[in-house]
Amino acid sequence: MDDIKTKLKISLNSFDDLEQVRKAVINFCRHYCRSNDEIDIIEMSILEACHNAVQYSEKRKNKPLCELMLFYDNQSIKAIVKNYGKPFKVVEKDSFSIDQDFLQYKNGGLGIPLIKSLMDSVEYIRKSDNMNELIIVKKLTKNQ
Amino acid sequence: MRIKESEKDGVVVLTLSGKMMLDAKSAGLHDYVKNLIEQGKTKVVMDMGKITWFGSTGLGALLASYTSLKDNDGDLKVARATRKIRSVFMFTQIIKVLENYDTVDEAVAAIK
Repeated sequence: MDDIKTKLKISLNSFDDLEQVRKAVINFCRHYCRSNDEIDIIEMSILEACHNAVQYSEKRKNKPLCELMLFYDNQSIKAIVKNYGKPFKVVEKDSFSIDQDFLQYKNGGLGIPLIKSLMDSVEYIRKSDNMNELIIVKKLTKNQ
Repeated sequence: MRIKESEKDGVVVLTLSGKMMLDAKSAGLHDYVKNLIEQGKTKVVMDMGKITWFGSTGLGALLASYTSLKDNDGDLKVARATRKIRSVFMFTQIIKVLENYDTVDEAVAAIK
């Protein structure tokens, strides 16, 4: 990700803004992804991350509930999702697997495992002032 | 998310519509299915053709429903899953346990 070609930044202040995010992510990915499947899973992963960030964010004066940044670097698409609030577990959670007991997800808790299984890299950084930063990366398939 | 229930050839068909995201209704899908099991209805088809948004809460409820039905000698099939849902099923390998059919009739025929 050293040679970043493009980036996009979106602020979210409510769940209503997710529709704008969805459209922006699809438009962004359409330029670089080679298949609809790839766009679908990037879109779903980013929306999942943004949805949870808005859901659990602390309201701060003059700050959005969540901030999304998208980057493209010739090989991959990277999304950074930031919010303020309680820390959450990322490293401790495994990727989703069909061998797991599905009943554990009956009331939620599948978000991070799902993102981990759909994307190539998921990183979490806890910053000062209660800021959470989730960094998710999808390596793009090459032209056949 | 809305749930509409009907029956076809002894199979319960749940037509799901709207946003299958982080809301009580999405998580409540599993309770709805558990209620069906208590009534002895253990063969269920979920028509997902009208789902506009799909997230982990909806998927978790769907998978928990599948497990509860299987644990009670029943089964769950999915019909008319949108392209996005099919992509998620494929990348997560859910497709290996939860089959999707192009039509509700095909899913009902497969589960009878």
